[in-house]
Amino acid sequence: MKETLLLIFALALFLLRPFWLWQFWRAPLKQGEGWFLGIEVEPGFYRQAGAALLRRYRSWGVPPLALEASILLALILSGRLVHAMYEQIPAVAILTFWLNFTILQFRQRTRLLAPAAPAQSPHGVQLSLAPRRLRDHSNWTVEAVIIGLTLLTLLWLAAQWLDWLPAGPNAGLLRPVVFILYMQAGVLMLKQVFVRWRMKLPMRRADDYRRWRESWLSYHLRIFDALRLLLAVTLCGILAFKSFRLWWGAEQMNPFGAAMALITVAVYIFYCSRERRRLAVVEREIKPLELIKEYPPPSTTPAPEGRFLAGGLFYLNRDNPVMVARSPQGLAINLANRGTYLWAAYLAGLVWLVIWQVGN
Amino acid sequence: MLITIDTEDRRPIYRQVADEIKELIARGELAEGATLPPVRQLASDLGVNLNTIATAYRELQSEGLLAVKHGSGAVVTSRQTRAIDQEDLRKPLRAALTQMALAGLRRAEILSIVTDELRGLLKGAK
Repeated sequence: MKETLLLIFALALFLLRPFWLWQFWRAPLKQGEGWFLGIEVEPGFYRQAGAALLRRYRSWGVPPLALEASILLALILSGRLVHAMYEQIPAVAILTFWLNFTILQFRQRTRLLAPAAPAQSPHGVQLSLAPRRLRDHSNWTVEAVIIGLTLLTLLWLAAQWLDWLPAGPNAGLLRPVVFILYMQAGVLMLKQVFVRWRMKLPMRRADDYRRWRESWLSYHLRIFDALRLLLAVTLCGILAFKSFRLWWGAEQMNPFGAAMALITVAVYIFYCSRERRRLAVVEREIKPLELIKEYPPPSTTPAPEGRFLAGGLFYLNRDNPVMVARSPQGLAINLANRGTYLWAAYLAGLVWLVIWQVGN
Repeated sequence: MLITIDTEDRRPIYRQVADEIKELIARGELAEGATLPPVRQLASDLGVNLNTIATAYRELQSEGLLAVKHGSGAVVTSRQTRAIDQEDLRKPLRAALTQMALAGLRRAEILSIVTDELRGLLKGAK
């Protein structure tokens, strides 16, 4: 049964790849020929500069997606189903970063290709000075549940190691516990990035923008909190499952464990899709793509000071506190920022932890 | 708690930033003890040079409104600038009133504008 479940799960993961590819492929033209990744373009754009831009966009995103899909397929076909599952975790993290970076990069490039700013174009922006602290965006009930479940798990684990429980020590639990706690820290770091991201507001339609921004931020923070809660429940659930299986036997516990896992995942998916629908209602009303017109064109503001490397892909300026800066070509990753190295180290650690898990 | 930067405004950007922060303090939106983003952060968020924001913060600091903490932002220390001569305060007011008079506004219209602005400014102030 375990093999069948793993096979179904691995195949489901593989089947997501063509969908991702398709989404990425059609993203520039999703709103029609007058748009490129949500940026309004001149008529005939795709017959001129847009053709090369589209080719380059696809050449940035499609090979990593195709390569990862091939690795996943090879793992499934060779019967390494557990490896296929673990491969997902760093693959999803790295691909999500890369694909989103590519989309933002080419959005910026498209804006830079826009014709000279008309006289009537907006020439000012607003910025909120309100502090953006993680504690102001924390749901303390959710935090208490996450901390409670994590502490309970750690105490339970400690009791097992100290041989206080009748089932005795459970040596195979250290790796998943470390792994889940690491993931937990990663999601919290990501949440902080979203909270601290201070966006400029247009001078006109500022209230619309603020409403959209609050809904967008709230959507992402709720999804991150739900994911952290899911991880905490999984942590506690794995420990409970393994412990009770030692006491009550696999025959009783396996179907119960599988059912509980399916219910938990189903609740999470239901919650995410409900939140997405709520955001979609606000987006239908406000049309955030239209708000882009309310900003001064990027051609009217100079690129930030600092050294640009590798054709504007990287940037070096210790005085600029951002991880991703605007470059003359698009967007650049700031190599003089501590956060860049922190995230690179986190992703490297994630890959290492997956290898450690698979070696189990 | 918004500041507005207009590239077509005749005032330099550092002056716009300083004036906007002063207005927030005067309105009571920035209370004593409120923190402002660090110089580097604000410069990056607004897409302006570091020295532009540093100059604005220095000016506010010299007026006794802010205390700049190296690396961790600035704190509003007072809601009153250091004593300024009444005549110095009258000068910009006189210049603004002159502009309105030259624009052909009548006394009642000028008074209405001044009252509106003052009401807006003192709405949140204690």
